[in-house]
Amino acid sequence: MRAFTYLLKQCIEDFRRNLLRTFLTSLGILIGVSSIILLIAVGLGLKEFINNQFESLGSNILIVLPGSIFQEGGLQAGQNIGGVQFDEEDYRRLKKMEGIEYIAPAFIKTVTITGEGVSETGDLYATTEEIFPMRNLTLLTGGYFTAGDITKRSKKAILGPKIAEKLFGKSEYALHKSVKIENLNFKVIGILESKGGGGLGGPDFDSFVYVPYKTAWSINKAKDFYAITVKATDIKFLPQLKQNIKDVLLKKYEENDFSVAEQEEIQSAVSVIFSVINLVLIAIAGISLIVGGIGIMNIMYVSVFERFHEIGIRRAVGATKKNILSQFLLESVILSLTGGILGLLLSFLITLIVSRYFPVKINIIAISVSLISSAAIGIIFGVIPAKTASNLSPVEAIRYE
Amino acid sequence: MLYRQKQLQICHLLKLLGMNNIKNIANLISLALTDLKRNKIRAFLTTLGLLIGISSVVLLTSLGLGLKKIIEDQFKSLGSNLIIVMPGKTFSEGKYRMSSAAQMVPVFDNKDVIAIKKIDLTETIAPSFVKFLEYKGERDTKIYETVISTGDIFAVLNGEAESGRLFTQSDISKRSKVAVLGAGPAEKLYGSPQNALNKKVKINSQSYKIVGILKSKGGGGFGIPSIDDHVYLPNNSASVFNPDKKFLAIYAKPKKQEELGLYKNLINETLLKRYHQDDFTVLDQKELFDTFSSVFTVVNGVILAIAAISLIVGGIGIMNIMFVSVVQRIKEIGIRRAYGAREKDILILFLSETIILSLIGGFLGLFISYTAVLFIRPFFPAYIDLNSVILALTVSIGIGFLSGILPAMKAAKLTPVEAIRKE
Repeated sequence: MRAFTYLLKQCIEDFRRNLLRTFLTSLGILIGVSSIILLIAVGLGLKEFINNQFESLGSNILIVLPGSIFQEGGLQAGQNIGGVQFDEEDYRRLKKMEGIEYIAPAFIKTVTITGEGVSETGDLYATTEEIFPMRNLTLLTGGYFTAGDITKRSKKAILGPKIAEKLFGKSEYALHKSVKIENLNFKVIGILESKGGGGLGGPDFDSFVYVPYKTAWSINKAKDFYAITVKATDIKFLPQLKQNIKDVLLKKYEENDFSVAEQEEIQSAVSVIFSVINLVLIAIAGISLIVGGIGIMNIMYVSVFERFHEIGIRRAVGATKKNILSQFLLESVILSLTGGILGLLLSFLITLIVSRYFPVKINIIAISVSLISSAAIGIIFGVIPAKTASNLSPVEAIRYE
Repeated sequence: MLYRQKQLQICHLLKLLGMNNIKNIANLISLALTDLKRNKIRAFLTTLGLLIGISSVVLLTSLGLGLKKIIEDQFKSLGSNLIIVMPGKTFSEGKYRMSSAAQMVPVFDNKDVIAIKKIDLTETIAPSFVKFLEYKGERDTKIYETVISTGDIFAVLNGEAESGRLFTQSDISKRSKVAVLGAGPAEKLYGSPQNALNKKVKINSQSYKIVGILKSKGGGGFGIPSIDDHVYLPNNSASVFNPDKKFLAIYAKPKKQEELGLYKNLINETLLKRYHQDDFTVLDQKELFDTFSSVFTVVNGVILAIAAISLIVGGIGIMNIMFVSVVQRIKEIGIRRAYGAREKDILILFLSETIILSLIGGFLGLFISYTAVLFIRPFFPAYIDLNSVILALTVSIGIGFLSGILPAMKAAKLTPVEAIRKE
């Protein structure tokens, strides 16, 4: 132990002598480590963001979609084409099944929405009133439409906060106003509270215009649905319910014409895509760590050559090869570890600032990855110069000019 | 007179730079090289850092260029005059709407095809319905994306038969059960394209004869069917798979390239008679490609920026080693100053050494990425363009300058007496 503290003191003294050199060497590692940590932080933040978003949209949810969306293990985004379109009969059949808490069919169409002279492109979401409790969509102001509004085909609409803001300046202003979609005038009876997000694989519930599905039949002439979303009463029934829904639909459709997906499956497929992209970026950032390591090796060689005399004298008064080796190795490990720790601190500060605008997160894995990799860089790139130092014969080293 | 003036100006400029004549520059280079030779390990390691940085940036750029080229070729092979009619507002304000593209519903029918055909400018037109179907071949049973269309689909997508034939108008009218396979399905289902020809294939328990295999073209996606990985069926006999007889997309080409804009408008007007403007999108090939291109440029930029971090780290390594070099050569600096070298001369001496060092790193980095690209090329059309060569060399000179300027200034500021006395 005493030997170790002695070595440590030696290193620090050497660093003090060459402050600028120590600073620049660590700076290289610092930049490498902090770029890796920041990328990990962005990856973790995004993953958590996606998970939260999916979770806030309710659990135990099954989505019935046209086409086979899971092809050979991967999610085929935007490829669920040419499958079937579900109709009201399918909806009624599924509704009768046991173990369902909520069920909402959906007809979705990108439309031009006009309100008080402003026109915006948005998505019409024609469905039933059950979508709101199922997806935890709460009201900012106003009320929901009811089952009665569906049978009466009332021209009532509930706006997501994003589209309400785009059309009326402030989302609250939209209440009791009217919006025009393809020659139909809807009265806005409610504005939803913001769910946040959207665009990262999850549906963007903030920018939908919700209307009773029967009212939308004048736009949706085929009277069909793009998707049917179902919430199971309990997670225990989820696999059974999934199978039952498949069996019911198989009576009418072929196997590749539709998919029954658990929300979890879609969520994990989206997560996997993000993780792969994140890993590639981290690997590219890792190149800078290697370049930093080469910098350490270079400076350690300089250090060995400068201290030939010192090494010779140490050896002459009894230091073993091992002593010299550990002295130089410790020095390079400390150099890179300092860079690693400072990099960690720097990225921690950056995430503190960035986290206000963008989801970032540093966890124990990120911390250990950075510390282990910087220590490893110190050892890998320090060992050859340290070997050179320890293999010098004492006589040669002292005589060297 | 004017010439003489110019000569004087140049001489003055060179003097300002401390380069009285070319001999001086040669002298500087040889001095720098001697110093680099003295510290071979050091020179090697310093260059290595920069080499890795430059080659990773150049390699990533070349891979990006290759990927872009594949897709560009794919788009180009379709001809720049291709027009695609899609259901829904798939594109609005130049942006691709995922939410809308995910729920594309076949809306068009034969009436629309006939109506567009009637436009005078039309050269070819082909509707298409896309569906996943299960294929049972000799080797394997697999699900393939299937394009159900007319014989004109090949003319529209520039598809050619590698062996056998494409389906014709008579196949359609005779309702013959024939299929044309892309190279991918042919290989997976029958081992090789040659082996697949004239065989029977079971599609969802219906038997079809394979009459042709398509020439491989690569790519696909972005709303355009792939030639390689799809199976093509004539729409009359395959109507069992498409009982509604509706189409997901209509592809059309005008007779003349110049009339593309007008033709697009005419198609738009024709469809507006039957549909609401929110129900369909008329796009040309260029719009599709531009959308893809802009997304790609952003992704590529992010990757390059991250790779460029290693260049900064390499630059810091150079700066570090140059500071060491200044300290070690302090006596030499003192003697040079005592013999009449000015501050500027010392500055240039050290700066030229760093720039040479980093330029060597840049050259070697380029060389290594060039070799790597040669190995990649058989599998992927990566290439290095003139821009990346120029950029790589400029960046390495820039890094040499930025990382060398501080140590060189430190060296130049030393007074001769101090420098010689230093132990």
